[in-house]
Amino acid sequence: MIVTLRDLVVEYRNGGEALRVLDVPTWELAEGEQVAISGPSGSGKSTLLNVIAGLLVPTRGTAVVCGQDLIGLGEAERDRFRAAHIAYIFQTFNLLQGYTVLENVLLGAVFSPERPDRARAIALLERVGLRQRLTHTPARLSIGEQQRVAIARALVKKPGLILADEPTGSLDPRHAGEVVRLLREACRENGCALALVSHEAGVVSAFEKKVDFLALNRAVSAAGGGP
Amino acid sequence: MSFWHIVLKSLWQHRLSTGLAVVSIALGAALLVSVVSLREQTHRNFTQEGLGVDAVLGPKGSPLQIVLNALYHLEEMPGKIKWTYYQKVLASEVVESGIPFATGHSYAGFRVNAIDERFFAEFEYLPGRRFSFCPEDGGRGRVFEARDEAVAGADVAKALGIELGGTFNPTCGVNPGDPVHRNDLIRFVGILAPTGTPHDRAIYIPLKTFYTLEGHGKEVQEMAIDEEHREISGAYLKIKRIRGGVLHPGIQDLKYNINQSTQAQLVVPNEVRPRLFGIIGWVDRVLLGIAALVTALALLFLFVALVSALRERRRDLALLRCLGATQRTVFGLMLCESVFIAGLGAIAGLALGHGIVAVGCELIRVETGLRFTPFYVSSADLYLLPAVALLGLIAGLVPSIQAYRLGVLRNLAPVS
Repeated sequence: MIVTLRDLVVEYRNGGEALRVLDVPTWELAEGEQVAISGPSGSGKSTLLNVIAGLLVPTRGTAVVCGQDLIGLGEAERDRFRAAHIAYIFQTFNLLQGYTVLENVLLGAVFSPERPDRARAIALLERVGLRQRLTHTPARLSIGEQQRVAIARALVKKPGLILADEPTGSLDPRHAGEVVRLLREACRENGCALALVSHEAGVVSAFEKKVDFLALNRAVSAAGGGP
Repeated sequence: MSFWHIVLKSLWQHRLSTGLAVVSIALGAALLVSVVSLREQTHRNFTQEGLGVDAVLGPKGSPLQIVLNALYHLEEMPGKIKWTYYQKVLASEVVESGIPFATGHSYAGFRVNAIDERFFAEFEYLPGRRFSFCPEDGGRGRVFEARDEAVAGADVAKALGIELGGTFNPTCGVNPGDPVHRNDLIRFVGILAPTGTPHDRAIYIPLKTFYTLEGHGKEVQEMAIDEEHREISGAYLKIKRIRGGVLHPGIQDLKYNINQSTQAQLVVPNEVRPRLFGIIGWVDRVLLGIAALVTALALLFLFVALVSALRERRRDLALLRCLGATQRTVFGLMLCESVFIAGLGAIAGLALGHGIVAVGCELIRVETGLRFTPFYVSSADLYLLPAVALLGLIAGLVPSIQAYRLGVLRNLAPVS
């Protein structure tokens, strides 16, 4: 398994009270597998991805990702783990505006153990249809093109797992479908697993494996649903 | 794409604030470099191994004025001394030799000193270095022999475009508007090779010519032959040495005896120079203080620029963290940017500072005759770059720590 979660709990302190936002009894994702996690806003989907990415330390439980038990890892170790194994795609793409398209893609591998591979970055940009836009800055791209750059950036370091947090949230349905198809194909070609979070039914329905996060997250289901 | 690529990219992205920080640091550093360089070169100019003079026999008055006039061709002599008294001093057992001179004339802003011709043959302007007329050294012509002949110092010749055979009329005095000896046409027969001393900045005529210039009164004219009544402005004295090249201790007695008299005084340049620095020292300190303040303000500006840039870059840095950059990496990015800006400012400041010295030394040379060079390596040159880089490091420390502590999730603000 590339992801194994057991009795995972995330709580925030709100004054003296503990506010539980995530409570997942068990969840697994196999290598190369693709899953769509659906649920309304505020149901804890992004929190789950942040835990898997090592950006958030759970209050308790077990989280083994890419063979690494994240519980007990220091911040620097989690950074190195993320650099080596995880790629993140955001709804807002988070491209660096001062960098060209090619530089943005190369940034995806700068901190990974492997050296950034320029040829691979160009090949990936060709794969997502942006071979002619290497030297353009993000401001000169459409929203759909920016998300395709984010996909190339995620794949450039050959991650074991791509976490996509509402990657189609800023796109119209036609472009959303294209981006998801492209993302899934690219993940398959590169042999990496994909966990995609979305609240859009059209996006989720394209996946064979789906998770209803309202049912999975006991912290929300016990409280009687989403916000 | 590498760590350094990201550093340079970030500096370029914030090129306006980067540029302003570099310019402000460069200005402060340039002030420091130029002030320290001019200060050290001034000290060097005024402490040059005696300029060949162990002591100056001069009239009663300010010893500083005597040194400035006799050695640096500045100021005016406060009076005259009797030739007979000079001869008496010359006969002292501690005096090895003397070269009498008479000042008070000028030409085109340069002093015209009447001097004994032995000045060119015997006088050592630096230990073991005598004046040269050899073309290989940069000199031309010969020593004056006739009454109406003159020798020009290298700087004077260069500044006035003097050629051998050229003529001039000396001015009776050293101030603008002083009368000119219109009927005394003096011809240049020699141009001294450069010595790098204030001696390059004077014109020399035979001592006796001083007395016989037309326009001087009969009494002065007679001094040319009447040694009993002859007066001179002063004389350079060479004192005998004892073991190890140390001045003969008898100089103290000689000095005491001369200074007790009403006729003259003996001035030892090395004793007078500290007083000169006492006078100009406060200007020196104020300038250094201003330069240090400007540099400190520039570094403060760098700090503000970095903190402000960090505010704009929180999201970018959070993204780098999300891509796998460690806290140390983002800390290093900020710190390197700070040190890079400070270092670039310091290098630009060094270049600019030497440019200021180049302009300043020419102005100072024209005004005072002191020789400065823009290529002088001062203590500021040696310490500025590491010192400013260190201060840049300190200025960048707080923003770097803030970057280190940056919350990734808070600043990425993913929307779900």
